[in-house]
Amino acid sequence: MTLSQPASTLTPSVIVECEYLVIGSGAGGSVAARELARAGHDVLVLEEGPLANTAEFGETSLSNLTRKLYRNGGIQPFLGKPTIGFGEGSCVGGSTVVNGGLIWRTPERFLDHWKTRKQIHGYGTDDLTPHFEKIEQALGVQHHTFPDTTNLDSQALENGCNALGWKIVPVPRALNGCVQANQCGAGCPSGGKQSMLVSYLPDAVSHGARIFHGARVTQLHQSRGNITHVSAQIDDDGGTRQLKITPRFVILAAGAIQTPFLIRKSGIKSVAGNRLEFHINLRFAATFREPINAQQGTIFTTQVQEFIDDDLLIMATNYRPSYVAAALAHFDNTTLQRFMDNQDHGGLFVAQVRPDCTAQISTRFGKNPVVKYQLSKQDIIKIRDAMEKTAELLFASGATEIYLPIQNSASIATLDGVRDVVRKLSPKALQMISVHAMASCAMGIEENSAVDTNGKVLGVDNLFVCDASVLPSNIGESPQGTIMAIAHEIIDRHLQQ
Amino acid sequence: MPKANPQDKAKPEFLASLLAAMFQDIRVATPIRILQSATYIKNSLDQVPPPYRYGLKICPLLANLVSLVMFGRPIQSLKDCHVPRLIATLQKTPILEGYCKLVRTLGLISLYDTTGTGRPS
Ligand SMILES: Cc1cc2nc3c(=O)[nH]c(=O)nc-3n(C[C@H](O)[C@H](O)[C@H](O)COP(=O)(O)OP(=O)(O)OC[C@H]3O[C@@H](n4cnc5c(N)ncnc54)[C@H](O)[C@@H]3O)c2cc1C
Repeated sequence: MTLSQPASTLTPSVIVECEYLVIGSGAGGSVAARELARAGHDVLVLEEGPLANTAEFGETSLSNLTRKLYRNGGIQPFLGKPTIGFGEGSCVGGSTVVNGGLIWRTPERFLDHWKTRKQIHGYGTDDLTPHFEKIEQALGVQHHTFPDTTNLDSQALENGCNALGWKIVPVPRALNGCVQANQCGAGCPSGGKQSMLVSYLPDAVSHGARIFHGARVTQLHQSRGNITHVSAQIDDDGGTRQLKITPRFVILAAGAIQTPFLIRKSGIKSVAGNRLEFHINLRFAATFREPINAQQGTIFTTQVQEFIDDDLLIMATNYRPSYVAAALAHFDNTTLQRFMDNQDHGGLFVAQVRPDCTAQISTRFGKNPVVKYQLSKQDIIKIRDAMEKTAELLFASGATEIYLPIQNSASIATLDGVRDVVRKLSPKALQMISVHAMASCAMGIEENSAVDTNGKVLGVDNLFVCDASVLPSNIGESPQGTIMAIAHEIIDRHLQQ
Repeated sequence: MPKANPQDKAKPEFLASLLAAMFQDIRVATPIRILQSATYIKNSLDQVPPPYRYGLKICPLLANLVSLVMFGRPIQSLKDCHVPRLIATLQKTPILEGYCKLVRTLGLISLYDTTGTGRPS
C-alpha cells in the first residue's frame, strides 16, 4: 500500500469532504491521524511537503536530502542579533523524519509548573504516563547499546564527566535496527529510526486514513464559531491549483510556526504566535589526542544533565564531513582544512540552551511567516556560561583544541583561552542554530489563551491544535515525546466527548 | 584573475568562479565539485521564498542587489570587477555578510557531500 498520494491526484474542482482533516503529518498530526482512524473515523491528512522513502535516504546526497526534507531547503532564519538558522522538517512524517529520535518524558519540574503556576490540570505525571508507555512501546524506545568501538565521541564525554563528577545519562531513542549511519538529520537510510514515516502513519493508513502530500493549507474559513471549509494550494508541474475541503473537524498540526501563522492569517486568534519558545544550539568542534572516529556511531548515546536545571544540556552530534564543514563555515579555509586533515581525531558537540526570551511570529509579510527574537541579558549570561562549561568538559574529555561557535575566533587549546574569548564575546558574533520550537499557541485557562486545555481553539467549536504549538511552555528537553503524549491526551478527550 | 562578465552572471558557472576563488585552498574543491556546489546553492536559494530570502540578515533591496550580482542582470557599480575583489566587497559589507555566510555554508556542505552510504555524491 502506498503511504501517501500526491495531492495533485485530487480533482481540484471537486469539493473534498471528510470527517476529520489533519493538517500536517509530523509528531502531533500523526498521533491524531492514527488515533482517529483507529477509532473508526474518516481521516484525511494534508501535508505540504513531499513523500520520501527509506531507500532514497541511502542513495541521495546529504545536501539534496536536506533540500528535499526541510522547509525552505533548511534555510530559515529567526531574525535577531545574531540571526539563528532554524531547522524544521517539511515532508510526510514532518520533523520526525530528520530528527535524532530522542524520546524523553516531560521533566517533572515543568509538569509541576503547569499544574501549580498555570492551573492546567490533567497533564501531570499520572495523566501522561500511560501515554508515554504507549508511545514508547509503539516506537521501541529504550536505552540502546552499541559496540564499544563506536560512539567514541559520546564515550569521551562520559570520561570527562566522570573526571569532573558531572551527571551524564544514556539517552532513550526510538530505534528498531539502527545501523549507525550517522545521518539522522537527513532521513534514516536503514529505516531503524522510528519516525512517523515508518510507524504511526503506516498504522493510520492501515486503519483507513488517507494522506495526500504536496498540498499547503492556506486558509481556514470560519463562520459563526465553526470552520466551514479549508483552502489548500497544490503546486506541481501543472502550475498552482486550489483545493476546497469541507471537514467536520479540523486538527491543526502544522508545527510551532505554521500553526499560529495559519490561525492568525485566517483571522481567528490574534494572540497566536505572540510568544514562541525555543532552544538554542551552540555547536563546538573539537580535536582529540587519539583518533575517536566519530563517524562510526549514531547521533549520540549519552547526554550531560549536570546543568539541566540551569537550562543547559551537552551532547555529541552527527559527524559527517559535510556536517563538520557547515559547523566550521565561520572559520577560514586554512583552519577548516587543518581540521579536515585530522578528521578521525575530531568530534562535533552541542550545548543546548533554553533561553528566557521568546520569539514573535509575524503574518504581515505575504504568504510566509517571519520570526523575530531578541536575546535578553540573562540569555547572554546563559550562553557564555554554556560555552565555558562545554569547553571545560571537552578538555576534561581529552580534547586538545576547541573550535567555538563564534565568528572570527581561532581554535583554542586552553580553558583560560576559551574564557578570555567568551568574556569579550559580542552576541552578534555567535553562530547559533535551533531545531526545537514550541508553545506558540500555549494551552491555558485564561480567556486570552489561543487554545484551551482540551486543545480546542477558543471560540471555534470544531478546530483543535495538536502539535508543538500547544505545549504550555518550553520543556527544556527534546520535545517530541511531550508533543506526542499531549496529542494523545487531546484526541482521547475529544473522542470521549 | 577571473573577471566577472555581466552577461555571465545568470549562470551557475559564474557563481562557480566565485566559489573557486572563495575555496581555492580547500583540497576537495575540484572544478567538478565547485560546479556541483554552485548549482546546489542556486537551487537552494531559489527554493527559499520571500520574505525568508530577504531575512538572511539583509533588507529586500540589498538582497535583491546581491541576487543580481550572484545570479542575474548586470549591476553598473560592480560590472567588470575582479572576482576576488567582488567577494571581498560582499564579505566586508556588514549588511551582506549574512548572505555571504549562507553561500559559504551551502558551498562547503556540498563540497564535502556524501550520499547516505558514505560514498562521495
Ligand atoms: C534536526 C532536528 C533534530 C531534532 N531532534 C529531536 C529529537 O531527537 N528528539 C525530539 O524530541 N525532538 C527533536 N526535534 C524536534 C521535533 O522533531 C519537533 O519538535 C517535532 O517533530 C514537532 O512536531 P510537530 O507535529 O509540532 O511539527 P512537525 O513534526 O514539524 O510537523 C509539521 C508538519 O506540518 C506540515 N505543514 C506545515 N504547514 C502546513 C500547511 N499549511 N499545510 C500542510 N502541511 C503543513 C509541515 O510540512 C510538517 O511536515 C528535532 C528537530 C529537528 C529539525
